[in-house]
Amino acid sequence: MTTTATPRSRTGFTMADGIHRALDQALAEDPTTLIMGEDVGQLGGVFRITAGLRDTYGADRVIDSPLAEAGLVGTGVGLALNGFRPIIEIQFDGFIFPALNQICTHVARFPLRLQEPGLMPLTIRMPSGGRIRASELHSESPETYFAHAPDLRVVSASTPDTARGLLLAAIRSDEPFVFLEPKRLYRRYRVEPEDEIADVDPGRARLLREGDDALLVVYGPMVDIAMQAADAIAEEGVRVAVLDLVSMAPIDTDTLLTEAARSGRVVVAAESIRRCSISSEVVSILATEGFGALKCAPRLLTSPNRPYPPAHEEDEHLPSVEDITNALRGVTA
Amino acid sequence: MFRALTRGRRFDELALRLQRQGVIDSYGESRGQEAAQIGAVVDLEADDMVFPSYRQPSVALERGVPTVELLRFYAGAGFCPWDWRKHRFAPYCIPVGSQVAHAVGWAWASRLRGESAATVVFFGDGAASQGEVHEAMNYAGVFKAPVVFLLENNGYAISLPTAKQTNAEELYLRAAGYGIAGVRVDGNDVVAVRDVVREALSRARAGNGPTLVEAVTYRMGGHTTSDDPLRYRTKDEVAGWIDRDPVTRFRARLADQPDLEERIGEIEAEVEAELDRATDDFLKERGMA
Repeated sequence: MTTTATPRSRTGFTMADGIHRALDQALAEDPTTLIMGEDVGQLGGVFRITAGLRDTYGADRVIDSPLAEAGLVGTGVGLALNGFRPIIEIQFDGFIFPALNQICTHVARFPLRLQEPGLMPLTIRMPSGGRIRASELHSESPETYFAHAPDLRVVSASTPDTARGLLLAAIRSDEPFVFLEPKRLYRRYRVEPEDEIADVDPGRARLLREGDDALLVVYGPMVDIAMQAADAIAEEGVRVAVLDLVSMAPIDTDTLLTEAARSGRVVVAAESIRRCSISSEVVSILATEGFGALKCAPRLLTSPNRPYPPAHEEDEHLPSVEDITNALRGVTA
Repeated sequence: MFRALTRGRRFDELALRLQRQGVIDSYGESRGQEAAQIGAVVDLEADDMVFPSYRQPSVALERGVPTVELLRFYAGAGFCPWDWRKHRFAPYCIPVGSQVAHAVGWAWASRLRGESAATVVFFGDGAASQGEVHEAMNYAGVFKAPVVFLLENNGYAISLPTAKQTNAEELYLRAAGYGIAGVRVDGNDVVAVRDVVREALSRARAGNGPTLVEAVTYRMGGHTTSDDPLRYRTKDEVAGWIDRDPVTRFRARLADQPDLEERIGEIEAEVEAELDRATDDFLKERGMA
């Protein structure tokens, strides 16, 4: 297998490289895949994730779309019904809202409407999450909106080594996926390149670290923060397991309950606000299906129920490493 | 075409009756719009695609959807009881105007594969106010999608008359804003609609992009069977459109055909028999026969 050169990397590859390679591989292996989005062709996207792909695969397969998200997803639905597998890039998390009608009323409903489970092989990618000092509506956590559309699958990348396999699984699936890409992590970490990447099950949560004293449940942009918190508290002799949900809808309930039962002490952390969130859903699952194994009430760390603030205030808005270690001390005390 | 118009009209009357009898749940009436609908699809090939809104029973039947399957939709027995691929007739689309982008995507896919198939999408004067409809028409222009936008301007979006829907008098002029062809036609003249759509289909198949066709017509019945149109329009206004009834107008056009009365009688009897059979089957499966 060959991959397009990625001049950004010096050694090893980043999560951005992994996503780029997944897109390259998807276009190479299936002529019905298309990439559509604002500035994805000539420019390679504002994050350069699709850089070079138009030159390799042509402007009919890596398509610069007009600046209109509802039209982008709506035409993607028509392309999907007529035999293509569109991979749609939304430029920023905060720009998805014009397309919510198409996503909620059509992308997530066509398979049910027509009683054909494999009818909507559409993948909608977008950068998500904050802590990058961006302007307004460039740091959102929109996952809960999508999780409320039944039959839509919602996953998030979190590390360089699994982003490629996870995205390929979403693209190859006949079900519709929303694929979130924590933008702060695009180029933050590098791993050594591998020619072949292990298959990733997009429905399975992933245990990133074992530990008998407590379980930390996270996803997407909170994963590396959680790992730092687990490292920090390990110096105090507290061994914390870290579970990356990977899939926010549906949640891998079996793995969650199994891992929670090991210590019975759980902290859930996310960048999103708390109300009706993925993390409150995790606590709901623990309370209704895993209560007997809990040794104390789970701790829930999220943003307050307020809009994402100006960059100046974002560090206070989001749960920090220290917030998490404090919560871990609380449940293990 | 007379058969298709008659079938559409008789189905509308049948569905209204079945709803009033409590056999089906609710029905969006289409009486008066048969010419705009049939004229737009009569020239289609089997592999051309149609995206309806939710008021095109005459088109469904013309595309070969069995009457009993169409009735099942109105009885709540499935969101799309027909084989949409076989008939090339997409499911009814409830969020107003959101189907237009699907048609553009479908047509674009045809073009990408080098096929000659064209796509027709129906929407109304109310849907024309939706941002998604503008986005879809703009996309179609940019990507030269082989699609015909059939805007049935039936005068009302539920209760809102077109004059209050928009300050524009002629909706087809919006085509210029997308750099696509636009044309306005008497939507109650099935021959005129067929002719402009025929030209639009040729343009689409030749790779010269989409056309916005504004078919000016009138919804003679209510928005649905739950509507009461006399709350927003007068009996006199409705009566004024009876003179322009698309079915009787086409019949008048045929006046010099030999054996007209006899042939019309035959067609009407055949359509009646076809609908009667379907109604019997439908009532049986509902356990009402």
